[in-house]
Amino acid sequence: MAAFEEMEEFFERLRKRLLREAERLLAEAAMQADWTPDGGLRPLYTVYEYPDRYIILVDMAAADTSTLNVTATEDKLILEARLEQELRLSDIYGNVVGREVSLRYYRHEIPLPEDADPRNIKVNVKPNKIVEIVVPRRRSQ
Amino acid sequence: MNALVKPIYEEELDGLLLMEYEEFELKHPSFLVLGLPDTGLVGVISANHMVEALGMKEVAGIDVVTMMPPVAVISNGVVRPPLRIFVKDNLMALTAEAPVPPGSVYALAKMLVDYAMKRGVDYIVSIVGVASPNRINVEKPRVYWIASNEKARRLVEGLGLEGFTNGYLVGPYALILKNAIRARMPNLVLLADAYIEFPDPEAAAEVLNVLSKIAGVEIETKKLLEQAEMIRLRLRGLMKQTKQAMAEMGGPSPLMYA
Repeated sequence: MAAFEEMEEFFERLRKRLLREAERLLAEAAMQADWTPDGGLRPLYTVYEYPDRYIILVDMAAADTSTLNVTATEDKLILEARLEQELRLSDIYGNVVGREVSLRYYRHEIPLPEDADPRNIKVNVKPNKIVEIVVPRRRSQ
Repeated sequence: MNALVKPIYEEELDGLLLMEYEEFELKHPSFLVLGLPDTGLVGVISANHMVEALGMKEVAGIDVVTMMPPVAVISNGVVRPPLRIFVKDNLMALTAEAPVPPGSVYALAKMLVDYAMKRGVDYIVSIVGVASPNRINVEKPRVYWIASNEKARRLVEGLGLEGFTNGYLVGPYALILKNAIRARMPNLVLLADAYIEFPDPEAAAEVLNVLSKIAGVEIETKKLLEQAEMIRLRLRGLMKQTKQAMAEMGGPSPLMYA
């Protein structure tokens, strides 16, 4: 009896370890693929530097841009928007081997340079869902 | 299904392996359209769409034997190399599933120009994105051209396109142009204003409209524009890898336009 319970416990531990390992691998794949297992996408973005301002372009393909929320803190921008509709990885890439993930939203934190002035940002959404964010630069003292 | 297609012809050059899977003949005048990854992935998107829209047939491919990271592309159960070659009538298209490793760029440029000559290709058409900081304010990206010789230049005559007079090409397309000039192979480079670091299907559609006129083959772009956002999502990974490969080759970075 004891031996049976011991074995059961062993398998339970093994099962949990495999699950943890699978979760870890999935999280690692997500880092590479730029999606998170809970359904978030990290958008591509580019920062242009001009003498008086930074212009940040963000590619929010397939987002519902009416839900776009840009929050500025002292040192970063936080962008969030829902996708127009829930997308599965297989909708984007065709066949997916392994666990299917449903994507629902974009979220990303973009670090701001030190001389950025986050109080006066302007957000401009283009019809093709490229988002332009203008961040003024503080005059150097 | 057999995961292996047995090549009927192979040639190797400095770690690149070119394979043909079947016999084919190109009609004339013939065009080899290159869709290699660079700015805005304009070439990749154009070539992929052309292959799909025209129902082109996969007849050959180029493998980078020592590529890092090691990748095998599986397409419909068949192993394919990262560079794939398709044909139909007078068109041959090269598509890429991964950026060309910087160390293989020289060999690839030589191999492609040699291969085009061997196969009796009349023109090599390179499709390139121009890093355009003003792209966001432009609804219809402009298309420019560079021609390796007079014969290539005549292709764009009367199309009302502007020549690309100042600037630089970085990466495989630069070497292909130089090799083509040396080999007296007509090479027309079509460049479209593009987002530097976002896949740009709108730029690809503009290039395809020009290519349709040049090659005398109607390439529909309506579906491409309809699927634009999905294409942008799908190509995010390749865009990031390409950005990295371009940086290693000293390509344009957004900060250069400050």
